[in-house]
Amino acid sequence: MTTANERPQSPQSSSRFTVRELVLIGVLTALSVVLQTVVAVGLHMVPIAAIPGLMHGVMAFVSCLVLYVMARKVPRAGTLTIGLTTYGLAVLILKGSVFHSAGLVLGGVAADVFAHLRGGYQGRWTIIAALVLFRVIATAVAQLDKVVKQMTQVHLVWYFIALAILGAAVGAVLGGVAGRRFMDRMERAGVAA
Amino acid sequence: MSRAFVTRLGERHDDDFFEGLDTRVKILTVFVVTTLAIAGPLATQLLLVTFVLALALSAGLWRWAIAAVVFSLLTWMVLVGVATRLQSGGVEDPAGFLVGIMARGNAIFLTAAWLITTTKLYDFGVALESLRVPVAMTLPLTVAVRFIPTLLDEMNGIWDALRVRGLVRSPWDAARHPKRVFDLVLTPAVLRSLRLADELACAAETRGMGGVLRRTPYRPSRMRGKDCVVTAALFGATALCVASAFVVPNDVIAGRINLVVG
Repeated sequence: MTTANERPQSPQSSSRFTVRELVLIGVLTALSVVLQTVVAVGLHMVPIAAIPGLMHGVMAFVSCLVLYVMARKVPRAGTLTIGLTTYGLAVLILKGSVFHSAGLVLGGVAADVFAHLRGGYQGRWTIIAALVLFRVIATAVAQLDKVVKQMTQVHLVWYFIALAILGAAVGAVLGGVAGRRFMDRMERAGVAA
Repeated sequence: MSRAFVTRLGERHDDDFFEGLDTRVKILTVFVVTTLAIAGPLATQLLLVTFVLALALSAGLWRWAIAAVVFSLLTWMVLVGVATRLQSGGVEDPAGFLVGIMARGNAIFLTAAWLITTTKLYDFGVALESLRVPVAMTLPLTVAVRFIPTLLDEMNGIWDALRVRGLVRSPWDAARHPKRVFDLVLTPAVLRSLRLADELACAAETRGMGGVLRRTPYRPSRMRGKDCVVTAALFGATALCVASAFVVPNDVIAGRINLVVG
């Protein structure tokens, strides 16, 4: 017999995310936002941020490094979707960028579907490939912002968009590899098993 | 600055008119400001900045307001400089671009800062639960929004530790050795985050999150008179803004809406 105070769903099953996993996803999402903000502010202060594609590459590197840790710590279908939807909502609240948010969500879903089709987040290269797919989709959708609205009123240059996507892909590969090395090192040291 | 911000997070000023609003009304305020800042006409954006500055000042965020204005000014200068150097035409309308970046960017950023500062993590979670948002979304979102300033503070602590130990003496030193600095910052940041996540998960489980029974909030979300007034004002402002785009076919008054609709 159920009471009015009882949740309609069944008790937690193995397919459902635990509180521990959801909290970890939230904290790592926050870390990703913080690291990207710190790096973005730092790069804006020096002229190298103006090199086309470099900013997207560095941002992809930082975010994919943290997302790799997230995928390794919570290797479940839906991890990146939840994390990146959270990130997308945070971006929507903090920046008001609709296309950026949509790109993050779509990229997260695509990465999860890809990883699911490849047998889950067990393979390290699967995670890296999923992260590259996420970052390429997220960057491409975010660039629609410039195409549709031209909010910055800077003349649209198509090769800037191509360089942004290329930079994001390269940054995602490097970030994934760096994340892999970082996690391997931490696991060997026994501090992030 | 971020330390003062984190300290401010622990304070509760329910007697303040704006801070005492229901969390759902605060979330609605953020979405209305974001929507109007992106798609609203220029005149609305200037009004929005005034409204948002009032919100920020009422929450004691004047330092953040000044920092936001200075940062957007610097961004404008860099972007205009880059565009002028890369293309012969440069930026089409530098003055309009400045107003846009100041009004849009600052309105959105300061409203978000106001929401984060004046809303307790617990109240945020209760409000989202009352809106029937699944726990798989509410929990990471509340944790992420709440932990962004905390992690910024952690980064400050890590940076201070590096300077005290003489590993990084100045920002220029960091710019010369980015890989070393990144390693030295990233490793403690990730490990600290993992530990924070563990502690927070234990606290959340102790408070009954993720259990079979629905939790009963100690401070339930409820709409009072002033919440209804603010909600009505927000909907009224949105309706007025949309209507103005069709009634007044003026580029200045309704430029953005026409652009989006057209």
